[in-house]
This record gives sequence, structure tokens and C-alpha cells, in this order.
Amino acid sequence: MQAKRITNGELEGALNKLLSEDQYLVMGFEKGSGNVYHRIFKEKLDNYALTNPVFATNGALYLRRLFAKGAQIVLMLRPCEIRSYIELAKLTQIEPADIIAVSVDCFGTVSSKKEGDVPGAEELKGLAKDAEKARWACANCRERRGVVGDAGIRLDANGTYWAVSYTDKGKTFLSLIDGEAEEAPEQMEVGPGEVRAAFQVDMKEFAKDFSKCIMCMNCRDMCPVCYCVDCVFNGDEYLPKGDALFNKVFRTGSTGMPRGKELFHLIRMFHVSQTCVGCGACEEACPQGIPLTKYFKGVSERLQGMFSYMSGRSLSEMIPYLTFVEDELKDAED
Amino acid sequence: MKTGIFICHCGHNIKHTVDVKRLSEYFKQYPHVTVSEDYPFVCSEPGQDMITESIEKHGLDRVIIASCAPSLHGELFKDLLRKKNVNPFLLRRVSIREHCSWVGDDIEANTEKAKRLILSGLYGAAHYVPLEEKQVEVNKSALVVGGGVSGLSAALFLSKMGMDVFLVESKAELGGHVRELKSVWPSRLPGAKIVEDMEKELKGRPNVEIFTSTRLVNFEGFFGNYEATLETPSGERKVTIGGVVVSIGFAPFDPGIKPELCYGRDPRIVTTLDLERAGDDLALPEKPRVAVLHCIGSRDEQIGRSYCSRICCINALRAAEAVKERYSDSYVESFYMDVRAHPRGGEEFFEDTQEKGVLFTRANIGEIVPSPSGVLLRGEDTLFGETFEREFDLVVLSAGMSPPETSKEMASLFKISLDKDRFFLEAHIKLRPFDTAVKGIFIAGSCSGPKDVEESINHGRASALKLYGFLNLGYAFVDPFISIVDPKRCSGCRMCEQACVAKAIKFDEQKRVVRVEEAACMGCGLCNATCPSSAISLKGYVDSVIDDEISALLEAI
Repeated sequence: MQAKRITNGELEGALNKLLSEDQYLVMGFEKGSGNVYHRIFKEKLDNYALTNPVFATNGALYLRRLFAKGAQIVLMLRPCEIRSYIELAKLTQIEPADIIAVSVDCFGTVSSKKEGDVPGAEELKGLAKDAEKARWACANCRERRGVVGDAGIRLDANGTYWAVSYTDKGKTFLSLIDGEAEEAPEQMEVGPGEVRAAFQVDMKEFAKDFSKCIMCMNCRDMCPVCYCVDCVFNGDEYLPKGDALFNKVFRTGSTGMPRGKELFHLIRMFHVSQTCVGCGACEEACPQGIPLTKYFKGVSERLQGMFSYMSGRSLSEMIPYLTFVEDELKDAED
Repeated sequence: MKTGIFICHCGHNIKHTVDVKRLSEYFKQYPHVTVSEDYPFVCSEPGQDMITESIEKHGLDRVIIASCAPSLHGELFKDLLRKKNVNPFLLRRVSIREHCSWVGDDIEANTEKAKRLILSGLYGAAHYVPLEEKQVEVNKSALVVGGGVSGLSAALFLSKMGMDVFLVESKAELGGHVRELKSVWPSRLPGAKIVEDMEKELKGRPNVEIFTSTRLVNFEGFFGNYEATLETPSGERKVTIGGVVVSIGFAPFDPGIKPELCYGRDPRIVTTLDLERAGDDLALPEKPRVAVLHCIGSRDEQIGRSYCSRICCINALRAAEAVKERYSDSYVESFYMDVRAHPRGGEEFFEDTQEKGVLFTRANIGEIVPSPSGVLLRGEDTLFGETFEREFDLVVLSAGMSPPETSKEMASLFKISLDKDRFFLEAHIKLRPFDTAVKGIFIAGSCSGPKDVEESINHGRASALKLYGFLNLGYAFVDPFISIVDPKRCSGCRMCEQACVAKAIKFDEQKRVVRVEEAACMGCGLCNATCPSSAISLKGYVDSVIDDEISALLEAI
């Protein structure tokens, strides 16, 4: 793998060189007052931040239904965001031809809901290991390394940043940076995620956790891979209101409200479990504090494991639901 | 909406354990139910008259018939609606015989269940919309893949019925395995004569085109309008056909897979086919000792083949007889598990062979050890429970049939299902033994499981006849049960495109939504199940019908 040493200044210089051409855009983070936010930069970078220690939304959400050709877009995002982008591209919700996706090593994030100061640079490195501070999704993350997409920005054990290319588009990105290409070091600050025991839960616990749900569907709206233009849960079919609801009551008897909470989450889980990257955007959006990540990440990692699949690992790896392989799922046969 | 409910007694079949009077009275109270009647035999002529008169008198626009299973009398009842200019897809059949009265004797329980099922039909039918059967033009031509006996007989039959036939054979010569047989039991005709007669007749026909040494490389289209791409020795060729008979035969079992048989390592161990080929060249002593082994590659769990190849018992008997005829002083011993001489005259042939002096020993052969003096067989006599060792000058293996080497490739090309042994799977083992799940594609011969020559010829003719019946009018009706896409709901994720076995779903790059190629859709509903936003639904089986039918089954009544 080709790699080049870079400093923050060199990286910004390279991106600015790109932005000086009209058709280029860069999507990354901006240091705002207090917090760091997603921003699409045009012409030049301003208050650019390489990493963002606060998680509010998954940036891939804003890329959905991006089909334009001609505009060249460089994504400088977290690995979970790049993985969501890759899943959306497989589902033809994004046209990846003119996008260069760069995943940046992630040290973990804190919840945007949490009061208090944004962690500084020195606190940042150990954040993911700090279960008190880090979001559950980050403390249990499977892939925080910038190894997905076309290129990655990696930090080695000595504190040097490296730009590493993985694809031809990644090589284009690398060519913007001055200096000779060399082999990237093996030891990096962020290592591979730990392998954890398979997720298991019973329906009782599930029903208890989801009983707080108010069916606002924020989790669905903020999920980067819940991509339908019109959800089955819109309309009266699953969630009757008014006349439709009262008709149902006349026919079937009394009902609690909101109806169908478990059904909503189970159907959503069925829809996203093969593409879920476990970013926890759903939990971030939930006003009721339901531990959504535990369920969605747990179920989807187990399901993807059955097919030796990992969402967002590679653009060429097909979603198992979309392919038929004769010899698979042997353990499900009986 | 005016619904008529007709409840059949089926003589005593239903009335016996379902209170039909209570049912017909019960449904009179429902809104939109104009008529609710019960009748001894709804399918009888007076029964049919009752329905047509009710349609006329009350102007019914939904008809619910609660009787036998929907597959029985399906077209008969549809025709009643057609006669009265009511769309036949506004008919709902409810099975209260197979699903209620035949299941148990409890009248109370059966009646309640029948009530639920009829209610479910009533709720579902309320959502029905008239559907139109589409007429499509079909090509009166056929592709026959494989030029063995079944393919030859299919091609000959189709050609005689006036269809244009394209026969494709991968080998240089037509005739398949039968050409190699010296004498085909029971007619004792040389195999070469059988196939050459057919070949000669076929070649003399103007509407037949034969491609030998040709491979089928691509196949697409839909019923009546398929296009096949052939790789012929003189270049690529595309043919348009209405339907296909796939008769790619079998591969002889290779005994080399079982190393303990020592096949291929000693010239004194041969298969029945080798024996035929060798003819008089066998270098055997004056009084040879010959062993014939049955069930080689059949009924053998060790190598994952539990099926019986059906032809090898007769082959083994023929081999034993051939040796006995040539060397009258020979010692011939046949080692068998069971002798399954199933074709007509087979049992007599078995008796005959015994009378000619062939010894039959029920045994498991454990080991074959070739030595300079002879080939030693070690095994167990399963009738006496004793082990034995005997030496022979020649060991004949009666090898079974394996699925054709190209079965997987052809199955994916034509969308044919394979069974666990990788033979082609028919649509229904009894009722549709020649059909596949894809309309206009039929299977013939031993590619759908071991068959002898006679069966293969008949199978070829039967498939040809079925295909002819589909195409002979030059047009065909396509079921209206096809998928439709709601473009407002479609996200264009193309999941359904991957799920579609008929390749009927096409993606519109401009609008970024999918559409369904109506003529190609088989109405299987796989795309419906795949779509996360329910943007695609199957006409006649839309979600609202199914939802309401289920809720009728679950609701309090």
C-alpha cells in the first residue's frame, strides 16, 4: 500500500489546491464556536478540523440521493460515515464515480447530548477506551481505523500522520500531497476492534427497552442506511390514525397507543440489519434514551457474521441479501 | 358492491361435518352480501345455473364459492363469471372441504373454522379489482438442447407437428450414450440403429436445423419470445424460439471416484459400457470366472448418492447374459443388494438369466485386490452373514448415472431448479413432470433423474407435446398476476432486480426507479417481499387483500 507522511498543514494545503478548481468540493468538519460540525467546503477550507470528537449525525445521511456527475467531491469523514456511504452506493442511492472517500482514524466520540467541554487533543486518543465518556457505539466499535474507502488518514504510534491510498481514486488523492510515497508503518495508534461475544437478548428485555418509544421515528430519519424515499410506516397501513384507527378499534377491540412499537423497530431492524454500520446515529436521535445501538449493532453484526460480511468494508463486496450463494448458512439448515 | 356467497355441500363431503345452513344464514347479515346460499353440488349444472341466475338477477360483482380446493374446478367457475360478463378475477374460492370438513369430525369446530375462512375471503374480495388476461404473440418454434434419444424424439415430434426446430448437440455426433450400446434391451436392437433411424428421419425434414459441436452460450427473453445464442463451429448464431426442451442427458458414473474398486488401474476391472465396447476383444480364458457388481455409484451414502440409477440392474443382467452366451462354460456370479428389474419383462429376464446359470449372491463387496493370478473379491454374504473371498478373471461394474456435467450451468441459464443430486427438478413430480418453474421450458430424459431408453424417448415426446400445446395457436394468454411498481415509492435501490429470477425488472437510469417487463414477469412475488418500502406489489395479491384476509382470521366475530 502506498502512503505519504503528512502534517495537518500539508493536508489542508492539498485540499485547498483541489478546491481552487471550481468543480471540487470537500466534505469534512468545521471548528465552530464550542462544537465541531459537518461542513461542505467550497473554494477553500475555513476552520477545518480533521477529526470531530462529538457525534451528532452520520455525515452519509446528507449524501443520500447524490447522483450528480461532474462535481468532484472529497469526503474527509469518520470510518463509520465512509462505511455508510459505501453501503448506500451499493444500493444505488449514491453515484460513487466522482467521489473520493477518505476515512480518517477515529479515536471515539462523545454524545452531542452530553453537557460539558469538548475533549481536547490529549484526552482524545484514549477516548474510545473510556467507557464513561465515550458513546456506547464508539466504545464497542468494530472499525475505528481509517482503512475503508479510497484512502485513509492514519496516525502511527509515533504521532506522525500518514495518507494511505487503497484504490485508484486514492492514488489520485495521494498525488496531491508532496513527497515520496513509501510503505506505511505497521504499528498504528488505532488498532483493529475487539471481537466480542455474539449478541443475545430475549423478547422480554426487548419489549421493556422499547416500551418507552413514542414512535417519533427520529431513529429512522437519522439512520444513514434507512434510505427509502417513502417508508412503509408512512400512511395508515401500519399506524392508523383518526378514522382508520377508530375503525380498527370497532373491529378488533380496545388498543393501546402508539400501536405497533415493537413491529416498527423489528421491521426497521430487518431492513437495515445487513447494511447497519453500528454508528449509533439512531440512539443519538432518540429523545427517549432507548439503547437502540445495542440492538441494531448487536443484531446486524451477528447477522453479517453469518454471511462473513461486514457492511461498508468494500464497494465490491455485495450485500448478502442481494446475492444467492448455494453453499451458505449451513447452521440455519435444520 | 354486491357479493354472492355460495356454499357447497359436496354431497355429504362437506355437509356431513360442517353446518352449511348455519353458515349461509350467518353471512346474510353482512353488509354488501346480497346472496348467501347453500347447495348440494355447486359444480353441478343446476348449481352453476343458480350462480349465473343470481349474477343476472342481483347484478353481483363479487362471487365467493366455498367448496373444494381452488385448483379443482377453477376454470369452470371462472367461466360462469365470464359468461355473465363479470371479470373472472372477482371470484374468490374458499376451501371448506380440504381445510375443514375432511380434517375432523367436530361439527362445531369445523363450522367456526369455515366461517372464519369465508369471512377472510369476503374481506379480501372487497379489495379485488378486475384484472385483464393479456394475449401475447408466440413463436411457433422450439429449441431442443441435447441430441440424445429424448432430444431426438422431442425434435422429431415437434417437427412433425409443424414447428420449426433447432436441435443443439455439444458433441460432433447425435445419439448420445445410446449410440454406444451394442444391443438395447428388450428389443435387442443395436443402439446405433435406433438413433440413426431417428437422425435420418430428422435430417430429411425441412423445418429442422441441426447444430452439432455447438454450445449454448446465452439465453434470454420471455415465454413465446426467447432468444438463444449458439456457439457453432462456423461462428455465433442467434435463434428466436417460443419454447425449449432441455434434454442434456446424464454422465456415466465414474467408478474411479471409489478407489477401492481399482477401476482404471487393472484392465480386468471394467464397466458394463467398457464390456460393450470391447465386444469380442476380451482376452479371457476358455472357462472364465466373471463377477458382476451391481449398484456402483448408486444407493451409496458414503459418496452422497442415495438414489437408485434404475438402469444398472438390467445392464448387469445383460452383461452376465452376454458373458454366459459367449462362454457357455463360464462361471458368472452377480453380487447384488436388491435386483430391481423394474421395466416390463424385467423380472422374467432376471429369471431367465438365473436359468442360464448365472449365480446371484446378495453381498457387500468390501475390497477388490488385483493379483497376477486374478482379481480377488472380499466381501460379506448378507444373507448368510459370512465373509468370503473369491478370485475372478474379470470384474464387471454396473455403473449408475450421474447428473450431466453441465447441469449447474444449464440450470442457471434456464432458471431450472436442481434436486439434491443435481438432476433437474420438475415443477411437480406427479402433476407436472415435464414442466419447470419457467413457462415454455420443459425437461426431457435422464437429465431429470435416471431413465432407461424407452422412458427417455417417451419423456421427450411428452415434453414436446406439452410445448406444442403451449405454442400451436401462435398466441397465448398470460396470467394477469404480475408485479407493478409504484414509482412514487420506489427508491431505485435495485434489490428487486437481484431477486427477480425471470429478469423481468429493469432499472430506468433517468428516473432512477425500476419497472416490470410485463411479458417476462412470472408473478412469483419475490420482488414484493424484497422491497423495503412496499413500492412493488403483485396484481391480485396486493398487501391490502392479504392484510385484510389475515385480520379477518384473527378478529373477534
